[in-house]
Amino acid sequence: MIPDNILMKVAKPGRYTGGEYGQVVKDKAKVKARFAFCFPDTYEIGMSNLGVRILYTALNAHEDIWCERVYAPWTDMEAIMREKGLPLYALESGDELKAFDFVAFTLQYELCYTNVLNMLDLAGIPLLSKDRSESDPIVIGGGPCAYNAEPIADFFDVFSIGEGEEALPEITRLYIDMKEKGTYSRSAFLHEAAKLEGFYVPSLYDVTYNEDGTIEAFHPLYDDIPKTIRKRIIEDMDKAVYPQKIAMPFIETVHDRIMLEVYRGCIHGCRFCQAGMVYRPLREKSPQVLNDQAKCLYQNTGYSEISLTSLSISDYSQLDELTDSLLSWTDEKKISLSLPSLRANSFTKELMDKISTVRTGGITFAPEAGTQRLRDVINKDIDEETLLKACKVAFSAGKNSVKLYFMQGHPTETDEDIEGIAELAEQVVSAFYATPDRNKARPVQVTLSVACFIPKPFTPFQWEAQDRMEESARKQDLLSGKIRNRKIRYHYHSAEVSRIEGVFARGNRKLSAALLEAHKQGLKFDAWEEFFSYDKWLAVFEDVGLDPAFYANRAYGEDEVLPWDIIDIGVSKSFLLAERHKAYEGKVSPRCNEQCLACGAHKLKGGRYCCTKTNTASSLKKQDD
Amino acid sequence: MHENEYRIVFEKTGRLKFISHLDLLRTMQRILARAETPVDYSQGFNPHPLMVFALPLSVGMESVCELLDIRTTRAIDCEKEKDAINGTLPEGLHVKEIYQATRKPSEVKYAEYIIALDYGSESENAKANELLQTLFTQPVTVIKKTKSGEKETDITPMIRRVKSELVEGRVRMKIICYAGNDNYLNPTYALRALDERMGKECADTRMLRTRIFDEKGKEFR
Repeated sequence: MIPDNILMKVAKPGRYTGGEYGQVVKDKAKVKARFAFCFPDTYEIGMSNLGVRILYTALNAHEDIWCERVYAPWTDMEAIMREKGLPLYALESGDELKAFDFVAFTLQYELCYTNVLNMLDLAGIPLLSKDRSESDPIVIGGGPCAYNAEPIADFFDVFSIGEGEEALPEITRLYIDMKEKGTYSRSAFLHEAAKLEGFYVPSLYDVTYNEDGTIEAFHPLYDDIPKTIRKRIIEDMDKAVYPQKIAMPFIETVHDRIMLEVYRGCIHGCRFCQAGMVYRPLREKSPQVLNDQAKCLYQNTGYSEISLTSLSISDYSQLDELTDSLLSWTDEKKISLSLPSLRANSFTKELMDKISTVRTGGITFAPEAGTQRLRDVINKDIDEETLLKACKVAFSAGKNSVKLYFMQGHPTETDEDIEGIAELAEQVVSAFYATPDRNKARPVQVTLSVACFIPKPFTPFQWEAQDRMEESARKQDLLSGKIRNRKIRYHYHSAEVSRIEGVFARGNRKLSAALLEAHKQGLKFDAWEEFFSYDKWLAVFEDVGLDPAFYANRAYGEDEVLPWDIIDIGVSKSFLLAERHKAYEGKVSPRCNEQCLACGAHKLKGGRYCCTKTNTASSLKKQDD
Repeated sequence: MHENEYRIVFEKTGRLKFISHLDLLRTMQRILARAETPVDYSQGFNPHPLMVFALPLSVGMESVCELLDIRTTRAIDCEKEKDAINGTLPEGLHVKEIYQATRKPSEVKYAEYIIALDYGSESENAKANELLQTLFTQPVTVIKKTKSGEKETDITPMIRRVKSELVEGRVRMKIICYAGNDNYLNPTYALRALDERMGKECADTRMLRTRIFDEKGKEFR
């Protein structure tokens, strides 16, 4: 535990005290394996993460496993910890990380990698897997970035691929069993773990490279470990473990509310979207289960907001039943419902009425591209008419502000597409004035938020090159010049940050050297504007002799062995490739509840969760082949 | 006073001392929601629960006499409510009593604190104890932060009583000072004045608010 006199000196000491209502404390003597679950960013961000809440519950559901929480200390605290020689510790017990059996990191975004290294360093655990001894904890990674874990492969002993509710207790059980039988050694355990479904032990796969720097092949070191690692999924979401309580932060965090996960997967096939591919197949929870979970969580937290989370909430097939059953008790308790991922094509007056009784604030839509041509290319099924209609619904309900998300740098993009963003914003402004029953007290405000396209693994655009810096800047200037209306605000994401993200998103193992060097040079909190330094990153790449353009700005060959080919997400490479070709032809693909495209996700566990309505025998057969 | 006005007397100790006033307010809202205490809401566009702390506690201080006033939608059974709330508290919070409030929190005038000080050695602690015997019998000027900026203030008139003794080689002082809405002295200022005379920062300070009083010096209730 951190002494009181230190806590008095740091900002927000509530980040470091632990002791929250709802945390899990166990008797160390009765526990056989201890799990330190690390979120490589601040407490406020990490405490808001639903995945951590779920996995904390899943692990602690086992009597002999104790999972605790760890967050990255802010720099003021880190300085004191380093000065006084205090190691990184877990919040529940206050014990240092070295005392744990597993140290787990959830990898939510690439820019947290330097924090992972910094936390290992603060814990006194050797950074490189190969340097760890028998007494060091097993360092395990998971989360969205683990789908291409190659850039961080050298720092992790094992990765959990896919959904972890069942997988993490399983690998912990293997560990306990081997310890009890006396068969445990670090190497024997990792070899056994590699045989479990959904676990990738990078040190057991050699990578060879071609002369041009691309990968020649992955070589498993043993015959009895899989050639590709298939992701794990939860088959029946109604039966999946879900938190009944939450460790209640004393200080304000990013999301102080109940998060109700309504379903996993997505029926849309936006071609840039990694989440839309890696979380397939679609699996819904039933409204009854959700309503019960919400009630239970309310009783155990006292939170005054319930957020219905999923990739696109309006696609939930029983949204009306769910909102009705929730509203039957939430209204009187002054609990507000929020639906953060509404799509314009389902934004109706009825839905708006249900949520606006309790919620204020603006609304957000994501057209992602400025012209219909480009929206077809990226397969974003929203058209101008639908968007404007949705805006009008919001305007007549008294809303004055609309936020629109876009990306620049999509494949095939022209200046016309960029200019189309400004034109679409103008149309939204006009739609406001064309709404007779609009709120006339205040003017309309349209906010454009434009991110830079980053090609991500396991998407139809995974082979694409990212725009070069000059091109990104030129497009930002172009759009800026097109916006004359003061009712339109324009924000854009930093192209520099996006490029570094792009490098690591599609990186290979060689990048571990860059991360090690970046850590040596003191880089951390790269996701924070005040810490991110593009110049320092360029210097790091230069120092280790790696070219960031090779990763970010190169079009990968369609027959190239990709760093993430070692992972099998269910969705096949041939499907992604076919989608890429359709993009170049400007052809859209139907949603998967309209027509099954045989993406391959169906083969996971053989259960038919997706596309139940319109499956044709032939498409399923194709998938089974 | 409104008839459904209740006062929750609670302790805030241990690590909870690092939780600020605002954070405690949010925490309490959730606790009362969990306990299903029928807290009333304000009217208007953005209703908020009707609850107020009588005397905000500074970060770093513990207390065994915190007061939270709430308005409820109906009469409550104080004992039952106390048990319900105590059943859903984090370690460091504990409800001692709930009673129907008959006086306004603005009638609070003084607060008593027990403060343990350790300057690092017995001789220094003895010196601090010696200083405390007479320090606040004369004007003591400190720089005090106020809403309108920093200004020099003589804090001696704001201190009613100071007693100090050595217990097991450490300083144990009891101080009663102004704690009203209009006239509030954070006892930390008194400690700072002592530090100044000691020529060093106290290595270990523990502060506990123990009682609060009305104008007549009677325990406020």
